Amino acid sequence: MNELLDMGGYAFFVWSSYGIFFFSLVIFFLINILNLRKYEKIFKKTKKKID
Amino acid sequence: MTSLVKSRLIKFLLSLIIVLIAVLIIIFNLRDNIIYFYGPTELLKNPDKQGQIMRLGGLVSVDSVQNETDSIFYFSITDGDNEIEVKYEGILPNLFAEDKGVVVEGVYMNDGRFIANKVLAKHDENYMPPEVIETLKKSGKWQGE
Amino acid sequence: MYIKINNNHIELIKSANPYLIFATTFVFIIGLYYSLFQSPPDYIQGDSMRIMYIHVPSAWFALMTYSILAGSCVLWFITRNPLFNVVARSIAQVGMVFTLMSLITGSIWGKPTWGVWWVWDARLTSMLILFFLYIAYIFLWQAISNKELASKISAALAIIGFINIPIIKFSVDWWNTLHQPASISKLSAPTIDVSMLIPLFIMTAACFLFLVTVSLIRFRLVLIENKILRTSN
Repeated sequence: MNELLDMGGYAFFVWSSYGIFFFSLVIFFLINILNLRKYEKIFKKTKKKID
Repeated sequence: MTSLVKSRLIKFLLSLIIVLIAVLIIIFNLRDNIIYFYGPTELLKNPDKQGQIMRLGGLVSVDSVQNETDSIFYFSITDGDNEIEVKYEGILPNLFAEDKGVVVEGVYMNDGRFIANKVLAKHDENYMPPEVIETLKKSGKWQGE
Repeated sequence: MYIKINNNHIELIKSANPYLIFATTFVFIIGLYYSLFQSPPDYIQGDSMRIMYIHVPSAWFALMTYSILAGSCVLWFITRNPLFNVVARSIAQVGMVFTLMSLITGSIWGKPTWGVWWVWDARLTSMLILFFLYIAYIFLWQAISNKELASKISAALAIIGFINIPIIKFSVDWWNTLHQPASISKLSAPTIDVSMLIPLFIMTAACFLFLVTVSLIRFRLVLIENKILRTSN
């Protein structure tokens, strides 16, 4: 286990790049899901007004 | 295809060709600036480059690395045909090794030597596990060092 | 050539969403297992080469997404079918994220291998230009309030910027760069050992699934955005 965490002395570089990569992907995904919900709500409101 | 679509297509293709030509001209003129480093042969062919700050790249010649102290190094950079001697003061990167790619930044001196203030290790496109290299070496199929 | 999106299509995309999210996560977990446990270190670079498994797919999809973006802008210019405009706006941001990821992971990989975080060689510089092209495309569309004009200007930019794609691809062959030449190309056998190709391809599949999943979410988002813009005018 320690061997895995150490990454042959490259721990900082390997883990930080993987960390930043997956963190960014998840955040980007969430932003778009939340924006979709937000826009759906706005659309329903404007539709009601017109109706 | 309607005539409107056809005329847009023609306009589009024409503008594409114009942009393409413009960019090709720009690239052609920028050619010398985009080159990140010169090889030893290119530098030896152009003595007018002496005294300039630039980058030199190639392989570290086998058996050429000498260190005067812990931080002053002498080595030669080769491209197979010609060699240039390099003096460098500082810490070498981990992947720096003889017969491996390297790019140095510094001044190409008037005496044909190169004083480097930065050394970058250049790795090639080969990726192999250590065990594979061992078996290749044993069977005599290894083409590397 | 006129394809129109109707509610059935939207419902189909909507119902595929949970499966796509599951598949993306699943393939990423397998990919992570292979890239961090089930693969050997490199004989020169050691374990730092594991960064390749996220760096290379990011760069591939940065280029592929831009090609699709430019392609749909061309189709939009010629046919004026709004669908192509929607497609372009759906994938642009995913491409921008992949470009940014390839720049960041590449930079973190550069420090232990080259000895520096960044150099201004042809490959790295042209990749940075790609990132700016994505940003310019996205911001131009948002900044111009007349959306017909905004679409025209941003599409023109995306098409002109396509010239950067072959420059990125061939920069390592045309000019001396610190960046290595391609390890995988159509013309010759890959210079990566099979044991390292497996994690690379699993991670590539995972990134592709991510691209599809988020692009389809954004596709719905952009369609609603268009509807809101239409009703508010």
